[in-house]
Amino acid sequence: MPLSIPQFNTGDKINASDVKDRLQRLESFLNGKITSSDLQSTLAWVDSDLIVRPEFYASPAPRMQGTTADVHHRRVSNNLVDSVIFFEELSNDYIPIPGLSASFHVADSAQLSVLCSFMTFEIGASDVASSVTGETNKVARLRLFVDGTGIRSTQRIVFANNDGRKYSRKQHSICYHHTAALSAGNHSVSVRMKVIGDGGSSRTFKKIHVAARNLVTNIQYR
Amino acid sequence: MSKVVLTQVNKGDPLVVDKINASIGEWNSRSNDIDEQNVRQEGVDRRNIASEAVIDSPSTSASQIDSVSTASAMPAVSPTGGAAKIPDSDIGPFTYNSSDQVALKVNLSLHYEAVGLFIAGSGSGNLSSSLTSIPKWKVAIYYKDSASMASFAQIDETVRTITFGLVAIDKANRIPLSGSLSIAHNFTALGSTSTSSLSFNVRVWQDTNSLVLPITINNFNFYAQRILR
Repeated sequence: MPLSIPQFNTGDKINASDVKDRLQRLESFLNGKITSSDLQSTLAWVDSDLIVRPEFYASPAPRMQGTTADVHHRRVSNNLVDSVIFFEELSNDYIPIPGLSASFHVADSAQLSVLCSFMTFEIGASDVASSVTGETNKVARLRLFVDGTGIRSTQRIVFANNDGRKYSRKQHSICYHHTAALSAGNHSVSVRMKVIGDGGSSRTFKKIHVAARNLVTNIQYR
Repeated sequence: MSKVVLTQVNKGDPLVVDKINASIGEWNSRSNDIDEQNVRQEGVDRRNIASEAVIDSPSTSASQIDSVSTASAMPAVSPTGGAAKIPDSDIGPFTYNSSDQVALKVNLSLHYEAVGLFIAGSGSGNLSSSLTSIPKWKVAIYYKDSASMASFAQIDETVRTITFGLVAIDKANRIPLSGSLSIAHNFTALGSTSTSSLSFNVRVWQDTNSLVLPITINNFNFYAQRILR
């Protein structure tokens, strides 16, 4: 809406509040109340230099923050030393996997979509189990979590190793769009692993590796 | 450029209402013709202009997303009779105008399972030493443009093949097939009709020259995002 500052009439008594009111109208207009109807529309005059440039952050939380979207990303190499290793004794709950987790702030209501890929394999099953058949001994479940809630449709399975052979090495991938819009504020996305333990009485596997971890979280504002 | 010129009041002049009103009138009349010369660098998104006041005017809202997710997408089936649609895998329609600059990306991920193959013995997965008949399944995204197509067509770049890498000697040692599959595709086959809409679904089929074997598809996520620029 264009400015509408009332004019004075001849003979008016001008009080301090009259001046203050007019200055406030002007101040409000200049500080964020300029709307589309105030803009010259006969020519397309908005060029990229007038729009806030995207900002890129390398650490500790790698991300790109743009005008219409943010991207939070994580990447860990395929080196064995960079693997995350899970043990049977670790927990009975879903545990966030480092390198496949991101906490972030959303500036406004936004749509969330997630892309991720990673590799899993188990080492040591043949040392503790008398017989392991390939891809029959489930050792862990993986799911994508949004704000602490597991997404059942993103579940992936990890199998025990098979007598030292590498059949159970799996490259996993997940593409997911969250149907509920995120509200402004803090949120989290993580791929979590739940080890399928047997109480330790008859262990059938040893170490579960998660390697080559990649996560891309896209926050779309408009 | 919208430029406000204030009426000066000089020292010693009488302060009459006309001079004040002239300045007020300048503010009022100049406030509705703002252009790039009134906006500093990055100024569109900061402080002065209301949020989303400066937007393009595409035919519909800028971003549209549709998605489907299910943990149990398709029970064990042997789709040898042609491409079978994965139940409830339809998304869209995504409307667009040919005069818009449209970006449309399609993403799919799923998990699949099948019993393992073996040579000796009998039962599902018995290959009978014929290694040439190792089962192959294919998964692809299909699309339909409402303005120009009567039925769905395959997006060739999205065809993925699922098959076995291992065949066991006997049934006891067979190794089940399982894994996940993802497709990320930037859809560019937009029609030239002024206004149209696109719909997508996912289909799976089995190579008819191979051993007929059921495949289970579950943990299914499929979505597309259209952005107008």
